[in-house]
Amino acid sequence: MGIRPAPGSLLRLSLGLAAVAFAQGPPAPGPTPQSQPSAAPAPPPAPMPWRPLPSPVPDDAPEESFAIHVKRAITVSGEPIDDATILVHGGKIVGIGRNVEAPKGAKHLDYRQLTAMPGLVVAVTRAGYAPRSLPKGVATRAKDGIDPDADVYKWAARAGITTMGVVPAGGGIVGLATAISPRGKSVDEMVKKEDAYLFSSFELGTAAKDNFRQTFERAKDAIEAFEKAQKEAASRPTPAPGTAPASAPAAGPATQPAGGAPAPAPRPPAKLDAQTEILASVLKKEKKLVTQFGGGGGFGVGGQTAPAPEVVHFTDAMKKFELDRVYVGGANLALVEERVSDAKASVLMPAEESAYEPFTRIRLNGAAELHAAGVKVGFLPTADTRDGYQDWLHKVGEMVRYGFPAKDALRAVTLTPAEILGMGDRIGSLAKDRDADILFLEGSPLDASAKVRHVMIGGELQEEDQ
Amino acid sequence: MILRARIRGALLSIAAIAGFGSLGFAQDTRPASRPASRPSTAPASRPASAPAEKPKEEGFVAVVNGDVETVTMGRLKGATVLIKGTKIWKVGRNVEIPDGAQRIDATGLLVYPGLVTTRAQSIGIAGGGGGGKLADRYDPFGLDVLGTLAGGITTVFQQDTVMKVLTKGIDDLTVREGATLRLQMGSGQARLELRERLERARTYVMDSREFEAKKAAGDKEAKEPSKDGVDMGLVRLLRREVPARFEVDRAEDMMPILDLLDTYRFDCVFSGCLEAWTIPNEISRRGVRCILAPRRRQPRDERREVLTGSSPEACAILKRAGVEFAFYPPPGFDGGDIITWDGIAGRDLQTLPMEGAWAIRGGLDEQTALEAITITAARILGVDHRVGSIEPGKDADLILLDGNIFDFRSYTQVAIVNGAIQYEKSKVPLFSHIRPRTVPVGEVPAYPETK
Repeated sequence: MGIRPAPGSLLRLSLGLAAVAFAQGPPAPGPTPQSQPSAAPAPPPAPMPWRPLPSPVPDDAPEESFAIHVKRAITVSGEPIDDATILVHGGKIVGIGRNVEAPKGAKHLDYRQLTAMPGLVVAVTRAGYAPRSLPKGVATRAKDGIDPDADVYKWAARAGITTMGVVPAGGGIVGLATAISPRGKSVDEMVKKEDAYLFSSFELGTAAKDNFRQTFERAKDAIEAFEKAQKEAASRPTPAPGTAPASAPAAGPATQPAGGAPAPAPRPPAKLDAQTEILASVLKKEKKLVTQFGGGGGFGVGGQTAPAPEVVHFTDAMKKFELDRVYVGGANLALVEERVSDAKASVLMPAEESAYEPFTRIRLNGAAELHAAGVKVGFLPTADTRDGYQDWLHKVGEMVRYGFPAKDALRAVTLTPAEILGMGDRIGSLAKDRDADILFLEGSPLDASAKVRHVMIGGELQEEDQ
Repeated sequence: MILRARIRGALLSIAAIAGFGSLGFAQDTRPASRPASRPSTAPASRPASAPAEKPKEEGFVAVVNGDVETVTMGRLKGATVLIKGTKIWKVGRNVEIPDGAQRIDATGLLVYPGLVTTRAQSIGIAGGGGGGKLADRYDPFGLDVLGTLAGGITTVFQQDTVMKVLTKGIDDLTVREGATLRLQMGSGQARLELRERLERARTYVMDSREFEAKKAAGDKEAKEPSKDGVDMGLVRLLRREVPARFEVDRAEDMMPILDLLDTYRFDCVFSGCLEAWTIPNEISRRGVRCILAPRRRQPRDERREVLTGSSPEACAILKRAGVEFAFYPPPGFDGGDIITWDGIAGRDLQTLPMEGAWAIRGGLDEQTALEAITITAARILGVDHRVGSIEPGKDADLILLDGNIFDFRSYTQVAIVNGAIQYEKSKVPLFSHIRPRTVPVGEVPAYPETK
């Protein structure tokens, strides 16, 4: 496949932008974050299978914008637009609509046969996580363990996945997720958002229940004590150095040092420790707590009730805490839909019909049931493999076939996971000022015949490697 | 009939005035052959202002018009069990049902307290070991939970924990932890060691009692006895906070334990008890209680002079000797005390009442058989203040049956545990197709039709 020869300018453009991304060193402070670095000649890029070939376009070429004409743009955040034009500049969408005017000098891409939609977002994955450092409990960061050369990222990008929330491996309260682009030479280049949410995994048993409850209880106590100490420190008049109050020596108790200076008040800690700080941000709802359920399993025929009992016990252990919750699990979450919706939790589940109505052979579309109950549902690929990614949209199409509302299905793989990553205002929809993460497909996205033709990540068209 | 019509007329007028009348009309849904249960003066004597004062409270559930087998207070025909929250609020024929109460029509059904089984293994327990509390691994969606409720059992005793059988959640799941102390008599050296441990525990109990008395008298010199080498479990046992449980079948294994009880007075439960009927007076004299499965069979050992093996009359014999006993269902086909869906039908928790039926066949009276799967079982487990009978203040655990509990044709139609419907046969595909009732069981409107 590759890029169609017709827009020759496109090739130059994408290569130009790629070259920008290659520029070494931190981006120079400029008017916009995407601004061109200095005109210093870039070193020849290392040969990488997934990077474009060295560009014939000079690196100091002026930043290009371009206009993409598509048959239909599915914006997700709003109504779909037929015969739309998407304007992209500096890695961002700067305009979208039927009659938007392309700025002078913009490159025109003729995708009038294709449908555009936001790039797919995988909110939770362990793909490419190969930790090189020891886990640090709650303060473990997925970023420290991402392998930028992992093949799985190539598969993801080719399947149209433009953002991935990578989580550290482990049990209990695992650590912080990092939102990355699947394309990039280094981790720093890939990272879209650090510390996207706090990831955890829960299984049945007293140990897990106590761990979650006590961790958050301790954090709450520590935060309260810290804030109290801060308040006291703020209200206490701090005597200027060297000017001890005159009355102090006279009234001073015997325990005071001979010098007569008042005993120094215990200094409040300057800041919370790293772990408590993270938990504090979760307790303040600045970060979400994403919890994966599963494993274990029920009892009796097939033991197919997981993760329903896990959710019951998790809800019981965490009922004291007001948190932004996201539950990751299978279709049986529908068995506990009341608990899920009472906790105002969002749900992430693999796009597959894996469950039955309890003890029957009646298929259960858990996602559709939860959606009908008012729960925000996002989908995950069925596996972190080439096939898992390539079949993802098709699987979502199957969910629609079995009852998930079509109009919400694409949201469940774009904007909903983007919101779970706390990036709903950056990615997940086609709108002004969003990142230019765009998929161009032949056919309607949820059709069995749909095929991803082009993928744009951050305003950069990806070339397929052969 | 004239009287009835007059009562109805009086009620109608009250209803017309105050918009009240659900109570009175409940009578009309009853079979005509049944005498009017309400004294004719009751409605008239109620002050006119009563309906206005009637509290409209939430959280009431009324099981109306069933024949209520209370176990401890006899059977009440056409009575109401009023539930508030998780507890039984009132039981009787003249129970006023608050407005807004959820009604469950039990017309034509028998209302029993939820059954209590004294032996199970892992009902609703998901996952492997891992320590911790049993209740923290409870799976309310499990198949065995459903099967247990279908068998009418609402309280199970497993792994020394007494717990409810719930399908809706895990609130108020555990009734009692450490309900019994499992002991083994062992043989030879182990048996001597048990005696030694008991002796140390007894010394500690005596010393600590002395210490407490001295302390209470103001003696500051008193020294607290050391806990070194003392088995605190046995201390609890000797303080009679918990009964000992021995798994014994043979009479010759029971005798040394009974000997031990002559020296150390503690509450004791025998579980198994195949040959208990051969030494009923020995057991009765020490107040030992038995947990047994009357349907278990074992032939007599012909080589021995003494009585051995099982007897269909075992329960009747024990009853005559004054032994208290409760039933457990015999082990399932695969050996565990679990619900089995294959193997020999009936040898599992789903047919606990059949143990009673067999005991009745052997000469036991029906009331004792009923108590053996309800209140006596609860008493042995130390939870008779919560479950085992239908009495105000107790947990609202009820089962609605379509026939006598000892009839093999009877099915649990509805199981209510902790005040909430946990099981309805008509709604569970596993059971709904088996002899479905023509009259659906469930909620009836708050105001029945007045035809």
